[in-house]
Amino acid sequence: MENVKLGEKWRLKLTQMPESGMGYQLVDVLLADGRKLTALIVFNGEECQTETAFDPNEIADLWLHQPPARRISPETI
Amino acid sequence: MNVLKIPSDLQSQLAHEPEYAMGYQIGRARISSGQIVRGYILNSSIFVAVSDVMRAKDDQAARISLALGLLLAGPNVTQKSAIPASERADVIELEQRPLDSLKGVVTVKSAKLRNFSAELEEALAARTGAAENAPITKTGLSEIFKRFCHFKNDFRVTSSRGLTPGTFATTAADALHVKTGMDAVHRYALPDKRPANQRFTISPPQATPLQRGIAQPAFGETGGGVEVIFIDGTPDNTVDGPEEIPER
Repeated sequence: MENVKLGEKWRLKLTQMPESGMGYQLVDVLLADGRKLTALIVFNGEECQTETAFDPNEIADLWLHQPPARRISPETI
Repeated sequence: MNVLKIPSDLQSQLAHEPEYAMGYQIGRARISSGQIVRGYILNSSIFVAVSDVMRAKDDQAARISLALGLLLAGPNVTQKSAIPASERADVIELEQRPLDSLKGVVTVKSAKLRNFSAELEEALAARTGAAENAPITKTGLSEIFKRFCHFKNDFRVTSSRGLTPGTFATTAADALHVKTGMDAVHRYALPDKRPANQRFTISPPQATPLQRGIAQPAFGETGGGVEVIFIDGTPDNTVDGPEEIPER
């Protein structure tokens, strides 16, 4: 398991998002090359655990991981 | 209070999905800022944040009525809203109604879930009794809470000693069961296996909104501790600490 340190930009964004449990957030990460990494655990807004190593400078966006419920999104239309 | 107009492509999908109850669906919308907002979906076309409506009403039927009333009255931007103005939803996940709440229904076809296989998804699914699924209540007079964390510089604590919205904690009574940082890892089913031995004390004003639940088994931990979520965070100068407790 890799531990990727997120930059200040993403830490600030995560500050504004709710936690998933005490001390952690579950996030999905979109990389600049189009890869999407799902359900990564982030501690303290900066320590991101991942099985797939990536360069934190290559993050295009991240958002809170959705809970396992029925999903309707443009991807599935 | 703002309402979200659901894009037409999502509307057509929602129209083919079951209602949560007569006249509405419940789901979580990801808005363009990345924030996740739980809300009522009316007529597959309008999304109203639950937290916006709950501030005014306590029972579900009244909340639905209020949400419908809002539609008729139009958006009111004079109140603080969970949905910033000019936002749009790009993903909506529908909540499934618990089967045991469908009294009198003979046959219920289980909804097909998206194929999640990761262990994390199982952990999330196990959280159905957890605080995020609980109704919003308010803190009592002089009620004290604790928060356990591995980090002294806990990023949920603001520079002015408040908590950011959506921060988890536990009650002071439940925290009495936690003598070490590893006790906290087990009791609150934390994925971080380093000791959560930094203990913060939170003293919110009376009537601070929060959700209360029980930490469900997850990440190989038993859970069972009380967990609360401060929906809107806490004001300045409400957080003390951390105190360091033994790691093990």
